[in-house]
Amino acid sequence: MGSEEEKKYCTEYTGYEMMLISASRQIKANDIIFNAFHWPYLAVHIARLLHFPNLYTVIEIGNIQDQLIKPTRMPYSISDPVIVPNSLFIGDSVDVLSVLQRGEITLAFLSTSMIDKYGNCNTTVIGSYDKPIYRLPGGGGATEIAALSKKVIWLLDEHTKRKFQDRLQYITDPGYLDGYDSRIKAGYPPDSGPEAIISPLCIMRFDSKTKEAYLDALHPNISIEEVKENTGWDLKVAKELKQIEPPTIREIEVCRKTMKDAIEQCYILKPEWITYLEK
Amino acid sequence: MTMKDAIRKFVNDGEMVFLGGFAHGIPFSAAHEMIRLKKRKLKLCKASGGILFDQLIGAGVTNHIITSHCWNGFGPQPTWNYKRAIEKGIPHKIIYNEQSLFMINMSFFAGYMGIPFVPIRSLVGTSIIEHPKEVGLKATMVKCPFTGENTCVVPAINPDVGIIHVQRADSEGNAQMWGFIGENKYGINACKKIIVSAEEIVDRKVIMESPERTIVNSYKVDAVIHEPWGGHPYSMQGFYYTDLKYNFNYTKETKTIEDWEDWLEKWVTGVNDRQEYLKVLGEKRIKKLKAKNMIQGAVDYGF
Repeated sequence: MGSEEEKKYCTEYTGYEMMLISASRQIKANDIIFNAFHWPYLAVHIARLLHFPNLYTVIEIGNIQDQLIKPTRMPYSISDPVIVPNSLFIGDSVDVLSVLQRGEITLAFLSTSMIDKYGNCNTTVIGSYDKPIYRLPGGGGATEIAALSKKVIWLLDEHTKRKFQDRLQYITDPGYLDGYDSRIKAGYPPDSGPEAIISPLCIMRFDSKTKEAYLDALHPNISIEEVKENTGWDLKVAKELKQIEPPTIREIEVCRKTMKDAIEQCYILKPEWITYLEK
Repeated sequence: MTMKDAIRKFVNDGEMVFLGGFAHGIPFSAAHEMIRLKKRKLKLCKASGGILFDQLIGAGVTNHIITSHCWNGFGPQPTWNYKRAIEKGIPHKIIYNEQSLFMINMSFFAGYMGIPFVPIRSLVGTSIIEHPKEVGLKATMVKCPFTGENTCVVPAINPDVGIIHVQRADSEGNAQMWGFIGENKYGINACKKIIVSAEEIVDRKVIMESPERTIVNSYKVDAVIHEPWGGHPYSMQGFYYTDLKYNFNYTKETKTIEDWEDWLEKWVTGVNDRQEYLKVLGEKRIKKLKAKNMIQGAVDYGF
């Protein structure tokens, strides 16, 4: 990050804001991003406003763009007609799958209801498939985005044992499957797969051999114990645990503007996520 | 032909029906007519089911859905009829034949190409392939005859009848769409019977001015319906914007069975056709949603 002014840190912020800002910091200028709705879109939007207005992004409906939507605003979803005259390319569903299958997506952000230690996700069902306790939306395009992007970063808006499970009964989106080399054996590209999990508490990354998620970096004022207590497996901790910088004043301003715009476009953000928004 | 005539004539109980539109140009008008005509046991396929499937489930039209996602994209929020049917069997149990977005698209693509299956790189190791058990094979592994590599393949889908809502068509059924096309071109051409509903019916000369916008041709089309605002509450590029308020409130307004019955009466069973629906929507709202003109992209077709 740039000047001294930008290095001034914010002291009051929510875990949700930290999650979005942490996610936005993972992007590099030359990434080709798969930009999924809803929370992932906000993280990418923040990165665009802060650092990379000309980031290349692809969305599920078949758009490719490399600039902010003009007039600058948050699209309500993948199908907002404002996207069309702001695009370099509009194709159909087969075009989008082709971009993924050719291995051209360098980074994808996705959100999910629950994840396991190997980065597999379930957005289909709680309970058994035939007799569900709760039926969830289904994966949509996340299955292919998770399967084929070079790096996948999962955003989880809550860090609880219910959301971070040892193993899942149902896999909608493939991560490292059973760990070790099982993903490669299943035929997925060796240079693809989950890169990180970002929650309000921390960033997890995946062990290069076992492919199990470990605690790599803590968000400010969060303890190792707090993360471990809320994770559904025996979480290992990096030898050199990193401490994440708090949001800068500039980051939090852009994040809150983005959240405000999102609310105007019918996004439902929980009250505890937006505590400081009105201040 | 009216929508009522088309649905009565071409959609039979028990058939597999493709409903097009990936969050843009969704044939809501056709779906509402299926509800009014009390169609039953339809097997519905669509890339993303959304509130359209939720309504068809709640009204008892379908017992089997083939899709990758069923939720209200505004919020995002739950679709209650879908949840009630799967979790509690209300109004009856349905089979949810879960797909991934690109898996169902490739199945339409195979249907479009007239071939039995296509390879896809995404499904291995997921639970989608194995569930639900009663629908049988949805994808399988074969050995690539050229590389020897294990390859996942998905079967063609060729629905009995398909319905799309597009910007314009001529009276013969040559249909054009622009903006987001989603699965429409592949899905509709894979169908045996085809219904096209359009915002505008234009002269064939207009179609021939930009023939690359055509997604299905008249020789395949069984019915053409002039149905302005047939895609409300979703958008139609160049015609109207998405009705955010209507979509957002849908979840709240259909939460209990009583809420849902009131909603259904107000918007579907209490009206006779799309014109009456638009009266309920009101002139003020229609005026607000109407798209501003943005005509662009004229090119030289000279030779």
